[in-house]
Amino acid sequence: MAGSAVLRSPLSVLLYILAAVPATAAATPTDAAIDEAYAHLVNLTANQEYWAERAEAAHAYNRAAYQTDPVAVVQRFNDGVHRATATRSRSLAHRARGPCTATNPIDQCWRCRRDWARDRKRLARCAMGFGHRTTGGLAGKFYVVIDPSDDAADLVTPRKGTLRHAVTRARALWITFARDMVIELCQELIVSSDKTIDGRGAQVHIVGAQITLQNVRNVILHNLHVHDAAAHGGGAIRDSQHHWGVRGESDGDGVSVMGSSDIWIDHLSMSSCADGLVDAVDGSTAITVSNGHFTRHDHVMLFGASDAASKDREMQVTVAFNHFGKGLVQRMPRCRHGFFHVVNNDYTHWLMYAIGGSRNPTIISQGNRFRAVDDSRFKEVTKREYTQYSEYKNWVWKSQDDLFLNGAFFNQSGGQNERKYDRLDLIQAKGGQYAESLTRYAGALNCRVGRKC
Amino acid sequence: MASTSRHTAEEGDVVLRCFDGVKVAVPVALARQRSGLVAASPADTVVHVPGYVHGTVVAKVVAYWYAADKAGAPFDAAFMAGLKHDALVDLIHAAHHLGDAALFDLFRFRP
Repeated sequence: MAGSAVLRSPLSVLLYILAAVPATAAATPTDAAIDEAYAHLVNLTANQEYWAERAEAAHAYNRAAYQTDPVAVVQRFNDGVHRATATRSRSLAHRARGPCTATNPIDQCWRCRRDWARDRKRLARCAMGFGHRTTGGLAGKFYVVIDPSDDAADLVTPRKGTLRHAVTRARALWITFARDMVIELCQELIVSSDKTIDGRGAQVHIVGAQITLQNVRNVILHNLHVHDAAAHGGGAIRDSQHHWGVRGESDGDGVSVMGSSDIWIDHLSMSSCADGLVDAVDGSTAITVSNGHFTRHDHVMLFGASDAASKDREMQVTVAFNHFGKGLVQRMPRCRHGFFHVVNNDYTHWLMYAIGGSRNPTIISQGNRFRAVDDSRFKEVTKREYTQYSEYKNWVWKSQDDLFLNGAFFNQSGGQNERKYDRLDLIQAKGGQYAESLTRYAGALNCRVGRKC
Repeated sequence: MASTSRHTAEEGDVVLRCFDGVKVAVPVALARQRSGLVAASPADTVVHVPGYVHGTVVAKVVAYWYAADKAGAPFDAAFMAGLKHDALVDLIHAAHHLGDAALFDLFRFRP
């Protein structure tokens, strides 16, 4: 398990210490060496206990965030898309098209305003889908990152003004960036609860290691370039203001969400990481991934890490307005358990498959555009991993109002949605032919202060 | 974890557990009778309350269950009259997520 505390056997740790002691005639381990080994053991044990407590508290919040009527969330989302695009249609009749065009309801909430920089926190009202309650650092002060460095020497006591210092504070914070910068992480960046990382107004690249959200809640990641994350061996890393501990090897995802809820990932440009781009595991729920631009990667999104993890039945994720572009292979997303609303995305490129799963997830695909590659082996949008038809025939995977181009097709399965509703109650998604315009401004934006974004 | 149980959980009790760590123990017969959430999973002795219902509100609902079990309609009327708006909203929210149709119906507008 990524990010879990590593507890080596006490004997092996002690042997390691003994081996490190210089060999001399009739030498015995010094008191200092024994003290060091003991301190190491105590820290590891306390570290494990700390994470177990955090996991238990986070799981309580995850259960609370669970929507007992996910179809209502789907309908509220679709209704929002219709209202937003209808308004735009009306406004087009009355005024000229300006240089700023926000094509979907999330963007229309904040983008076409000259004063976006004076009202940054308006973004906190814009979340839709299962992550709609996310407010991030709305309740906190602004923290301006001025220093792009991330040194191995600063992992336990991060330097003030750095991103690692900002994300590990205990109170709510809305984190912004003083200028364009490339932050090369030397180890995973562990974000605490109630944070917004807001990259608007600067071109912020976070490279080198993964962003980890572990047993936290209420985090917004917005307008960042996240790429070339690598796996790292771990070590002593600060994970919150009042705790640091020894971490195990990190996966090298772009963003890794573990046991967390109320997460909104918006306007990220992501590519070329060591494992997934966005992974959500260990009972994470109430997540929206929107306006993302994903390219040049194999395993794009993984929701649920293990077939045996029944906690993931609580997982509820909205994947909306994303552009899945060149060089992608599979898992857009791959789902194991839970409920997944995949809506108004633009899939222009996949090899192998676009949407997959292996353990009875409910996948509602609405209003997406799927353009298959020319290779006849890769026309199918879907893939049930390691599963025969007799098993997957009851999985609820539905495609409604999707647009299929170049021979793409969606292999549906399962009966109707559990809830019965009249035709008037059902709010259809905006059709797949609108997916291109709805995702036109996916990815990190080049916002400037004083101008519409 | 704080506990506002009226008593420690006993053999015949169901524990209602809230997201903020509060646990409320209720006799299983009473809980099953009032709460659709508890009745839906008869094998569980610990039931997690969804939807961000605070533990203090669940404790109030359980206290109401005890009181209403003995009294009747006059108690309901007095109970309703004593509620402020915020408490009303909290109780409606809790009644919905606990699946207590009778308590939820108390808040319906009647001409």
